[in-house]
Amino acid sequence: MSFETPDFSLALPEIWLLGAICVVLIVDLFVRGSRRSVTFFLTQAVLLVTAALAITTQWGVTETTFSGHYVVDPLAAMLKATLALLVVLALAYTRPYLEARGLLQGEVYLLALFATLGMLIIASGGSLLTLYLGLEMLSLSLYALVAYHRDSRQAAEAAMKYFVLGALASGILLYGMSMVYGGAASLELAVIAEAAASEEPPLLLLFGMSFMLVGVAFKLGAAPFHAWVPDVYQGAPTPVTLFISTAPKVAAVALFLRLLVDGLGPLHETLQPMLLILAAVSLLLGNLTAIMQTNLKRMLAYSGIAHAGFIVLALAAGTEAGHAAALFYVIAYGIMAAGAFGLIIVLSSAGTEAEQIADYRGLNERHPILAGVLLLLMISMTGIPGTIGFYAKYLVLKAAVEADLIAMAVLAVIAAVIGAFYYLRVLKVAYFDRPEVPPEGSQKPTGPNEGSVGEGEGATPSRPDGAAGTVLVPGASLPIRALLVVNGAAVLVLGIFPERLIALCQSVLGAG
Amino acid sequence: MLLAVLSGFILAALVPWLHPRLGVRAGWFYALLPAALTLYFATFLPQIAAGEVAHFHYTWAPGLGLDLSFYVDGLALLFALLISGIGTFILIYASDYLAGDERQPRFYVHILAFMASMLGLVLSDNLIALFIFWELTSITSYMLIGYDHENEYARKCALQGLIVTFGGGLALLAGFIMLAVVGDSYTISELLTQGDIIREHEWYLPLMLLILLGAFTKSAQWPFHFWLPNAMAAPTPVSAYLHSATMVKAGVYLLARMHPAIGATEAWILLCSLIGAVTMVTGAYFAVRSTQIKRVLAYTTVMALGTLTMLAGIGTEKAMIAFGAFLLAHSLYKGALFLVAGILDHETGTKDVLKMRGLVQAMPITALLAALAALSLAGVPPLFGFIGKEYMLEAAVGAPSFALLLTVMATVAAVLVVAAAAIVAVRPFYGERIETPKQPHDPPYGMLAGPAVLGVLGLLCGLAPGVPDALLISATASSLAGEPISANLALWHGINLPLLLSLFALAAGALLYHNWERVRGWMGRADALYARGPEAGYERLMQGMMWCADWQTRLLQNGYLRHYITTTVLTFVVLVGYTLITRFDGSLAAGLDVRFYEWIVAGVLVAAAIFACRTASRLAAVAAIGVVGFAIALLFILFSAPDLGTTQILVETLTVILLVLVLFRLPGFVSFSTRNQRIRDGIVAALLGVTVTALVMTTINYQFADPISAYHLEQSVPLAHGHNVVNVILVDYRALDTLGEIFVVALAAIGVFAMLKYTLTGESQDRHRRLTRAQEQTTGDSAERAEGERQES
Amino acid sequence: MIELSNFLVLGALLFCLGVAGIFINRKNVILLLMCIELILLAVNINFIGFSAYLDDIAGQIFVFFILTVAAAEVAIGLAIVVVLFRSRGDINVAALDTMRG
Repeated sequence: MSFETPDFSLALPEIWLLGAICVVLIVDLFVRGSRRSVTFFLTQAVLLVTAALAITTQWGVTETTFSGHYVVDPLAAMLKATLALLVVLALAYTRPYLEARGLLQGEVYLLALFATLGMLIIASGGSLLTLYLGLEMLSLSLYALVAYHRDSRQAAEAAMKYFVLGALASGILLYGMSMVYGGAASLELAVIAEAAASEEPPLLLLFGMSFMLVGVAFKLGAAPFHAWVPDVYQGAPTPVTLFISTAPKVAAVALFLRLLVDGLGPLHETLQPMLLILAAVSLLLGNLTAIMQTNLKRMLAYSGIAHAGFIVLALAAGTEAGHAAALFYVIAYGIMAAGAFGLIIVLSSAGTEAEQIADYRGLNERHPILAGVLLLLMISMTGIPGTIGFYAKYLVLKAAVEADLIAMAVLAVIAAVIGAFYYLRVLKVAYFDRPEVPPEGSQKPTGPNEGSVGEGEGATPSRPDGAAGTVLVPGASLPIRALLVVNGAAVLVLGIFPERLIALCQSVLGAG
Repeated sequence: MLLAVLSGFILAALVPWLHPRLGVRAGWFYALLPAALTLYFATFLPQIAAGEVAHFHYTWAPGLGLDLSFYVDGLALLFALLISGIGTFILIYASDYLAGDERQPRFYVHILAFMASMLGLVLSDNLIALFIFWELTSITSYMLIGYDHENEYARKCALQGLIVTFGGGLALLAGFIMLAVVGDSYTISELLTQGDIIREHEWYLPLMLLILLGAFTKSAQWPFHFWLPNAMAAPTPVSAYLHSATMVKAGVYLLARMHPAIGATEAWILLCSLIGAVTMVTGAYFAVRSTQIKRVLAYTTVMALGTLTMLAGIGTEKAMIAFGAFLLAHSLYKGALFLVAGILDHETGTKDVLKMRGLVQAMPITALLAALAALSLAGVPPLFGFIGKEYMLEAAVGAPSFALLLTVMATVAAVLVVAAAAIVAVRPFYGERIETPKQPHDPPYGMLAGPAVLGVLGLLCGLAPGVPDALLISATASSLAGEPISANLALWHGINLPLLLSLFALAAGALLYHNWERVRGWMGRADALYARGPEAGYERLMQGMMWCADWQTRLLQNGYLRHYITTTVLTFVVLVGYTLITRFDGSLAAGLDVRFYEWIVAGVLVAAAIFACRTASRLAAVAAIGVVGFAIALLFILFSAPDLGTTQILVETLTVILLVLVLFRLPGFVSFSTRNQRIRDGIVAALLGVTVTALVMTTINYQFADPISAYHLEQSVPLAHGHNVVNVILVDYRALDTLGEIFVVALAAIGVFAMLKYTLTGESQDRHRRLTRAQEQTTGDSAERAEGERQES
Repeated sequence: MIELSNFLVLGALLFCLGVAGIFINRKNVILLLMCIELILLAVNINFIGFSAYLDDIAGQIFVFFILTVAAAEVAIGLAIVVVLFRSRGDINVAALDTMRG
């Protein structure tokens, strides 16, 4: 066996990112001042270049390098661009919140960059080894990010729980990988797929698959491997929660697509019942538990579990349409979750955390534009037409029905109805309930609401913060609020013109 | 056409900007839009009357099977005209009704958006687009019902209505997707021609049930009827528009629209006609039972919706005609009556019929309009309502199945409705005048225009039934049947059974109204039954859901890390166990060639191990572990490896002695957990162990290379000149390993010796310290135990 | 050479011990870290066993990576333990229950 020089140019996005991380690391050492502007803008620029590189150098290419350990295909290119852009979006929200709490240090960005690198590696993983390394790079960075707020008891507890459960899950995943390796005699996914497609696939492959499913489901936050989700979402600083709930979810779907579709796709028949169990439990448990929450972050955590149920259902369909539906769903969820947590960030100021649902009473009276964004996000999460969330659910249901999973589709519908209950309750609170403390000062009459927000991106609130003394005061600066409005508008615009994104998801997965 | 449908949304988006610039007459301005739309739709009349249909096609997202196709036939046009026509008057009416309310802009935004959604719903030729508009009507109606948000009750009702209709809507989506998969098309007009294929498909029944569920919830059919009367918390223009003329009819529209594709099977007839009839009677009954004027009207609407569903279920030609006629008649008179009710509420300040009497002097025009509409409701000739009711009874009499039952129910409903009409139109206006919270007088013209036009239309249609027939009703009936039907509506049919029933209904209804107070008293006694009805069911369901949510939240998400881990491990065991069970092919049996004395030794081994885990004394535990070791030595001997057995016995003896020496001096066991916890952990651990054992046993047969033992047996004499293979391995092949092991053991022995020596000499000064530590530990333990018990409980 | 099954059985035993240790332990977080190490060791043994029998070097390379990652994992784990200890004053597993519901 001779050593073959790998084609480094194929892996340009990752190589660029790694090099850039080192540069950022060094630059950050010399940055003075609390705002960390240089680090922040450098990070964002690096990520944008990464996304651009992924598209320009990898789109339309289908090749492998590093002896089959690294795969380049349209799916990888699209995933990388999406991941990098989601991270850019997530990080854009972080600065004012962290700054107000004295938490703004370069490490946040570096850890996020390392996590992103891990996710990109997952997206291009062509063997068990690369996937494992990418996953661990992502996980280890996330553990550190959750524990980042050192003085917070909750953050420390959340990090500990996350770490122990995560390490257990990756241990189980790894054990499964070792069995798959034994069964297929190779680490490469392509070879594993061949072994799995044989007449009588080795039992080791089957067991390895069940083990690996545990790891993937854990990353996705699907019940009953969900236990970490609520605690981490609640305990971690909100920007970190935002980060965790967006890109890593996409990475988890990527992991599934690589590991259990590219690698063990031929064994889907055995996998499907397990996925259905996970989907059913996630849908019911997530939605039912979310009803009881009074903390918005925790409620969103459970709703995330329910959304994970939908994603798993789409994956359980096992068709290309199902995979595309899962991919679209997770991207849609990323956008919605970023908006929802972004809203919490915007409404939290130095002294207050806008975490309790009750804090949102009368939001519409005081900040109609923000209330409009909340409305859009909530109805999108409910799955009401006109928003991106509807198409996500629609595609999943369609894929499930086409795969003859009628009963599961009906169960998903029931779960969605239960879900409607708590999303709409948040809206009820924001729109119809009176705030406990009557707003002081001059109040404008109820102005434009959701009808105008979609078009009103330009009309970002420029009014002075006259609503002092009320419960929630937006702590974020104008650009951040503008970003939030754009984020909310994206939910609407993508909900009215979803075609491009869906077609993209389908084309990279070879469906329709 | 696209502009016509979307114009409502556009105007709605402009309202916040327009409203401050228009002043008090804003409502009149907005009303121009539906008025223009009415005219636009009216231009289709000749075409439709000639039996043609119109198609419009705009692409939206073709990759998703989603496009904005519109399809205008009799049914769609009838609805479109009702929506835009009634909408015009509602907007005019609202500008006076809501005068001075600062939340007006919000109202107009929602109602215009609602109107556009509703138009989109009835005109769409694409299943998904239809569904999108369907849900948009739900959400806009939620905002409208909750308009009066100061009111806790209004908010609750709004949420109830939305949950019920949204749930039905999602069921509808599932049904639509199945329908599209079965019919291989998302275009409704194509699906309509494939009725036979769809009805034959194995998915037909679930598909139809899901679609019916959607339609029934939207149209407030029993047992989902309760949300509609509760939705009366909305402002009156909203009730008049959404909850009588348009939104609630969406479900009925869907039934009619889908009839050629999925209707006319046994299941369909059974479900639609019976549920429709039950709804009809329930609605009529509660209409008479209620005293709040809007609730009376809401229940008569429920009754009308039930009637329409029943007619769609019966599915004969007569029923189709009756459907069209009744639909038109109902929209005209019910819209008018709601507007009248709104006037009464607005002018008198109360909604309770019992608190208004003798208003005829104060509000003569209102009284006249009320009478006009109510006569139509009661079905008195020559108003159009009479024709509608006549055809309805005729359809019930001629129903292919359950004819007698349906006729009786229809007649009962008719009787009750006559009484209800009197409650609304006679009771408040005539009799002795009583004081009302506000001083009533006729309202401004804007509020009278709606009821007047609708009432007069009802009269005109009744006098000249040929006009609506030629223009719309025949075409509507044709859309339902999927083939051309000529209705030939007429006021006079000759003396037949329906006419007699009609007359009976009028007489009995009048009698009923005369004794209304007494009847209501009787009905009040039956209220207990209602407390167990569908609404209570809904409440119970919600409570149950909350309870269930609460219970499982406490059970699963209790904050303890190890519970989370236990859940994870258990699920993992289940998943792997599942693979094991489904893929197990009996290869395990080969490994189970065990003789009975081996069983005995294994039994001793396991028993000793269990004892070691359970005992409270260290000494006993050490002894039990010794037993395990010796049992293993025995196994070696049984498997003909006496040299290994001897080694094992020696090592075991040494280990036990060492352990005893070391452990003897440590304090007793500390219990970190309660009995229950231990049992639970034990079970989980056992499950995990069993699974992994089974796993290993099924996969152990892997043999990639020959066992090494053959090589050793062959080569030990020629290479090492030894006849004992084990000895050869230990002292020859792996001599260095052995040497290293000896060193390690020797070092350990020295260390142990040093420790023991130190402990023995330093015992006296050390004892005190150890005692205190033991005490600390015990107190810590008890605290721990107490906490453990708390967790368990 | 030893039979492959022996490797597998040893791996399975270590794995079970590790997992059982994680969920039975209710006292000390450090013990959890050790159990996690045990699981990773079980995986390593599996990989080495398979690698030897398959005559494929990739498995052993994987083990090197696992060893490295395990070290990183422990480093992060210990760091979190330190943070936990700083904020709470103890590292008792059973006391990790402020967030629930």
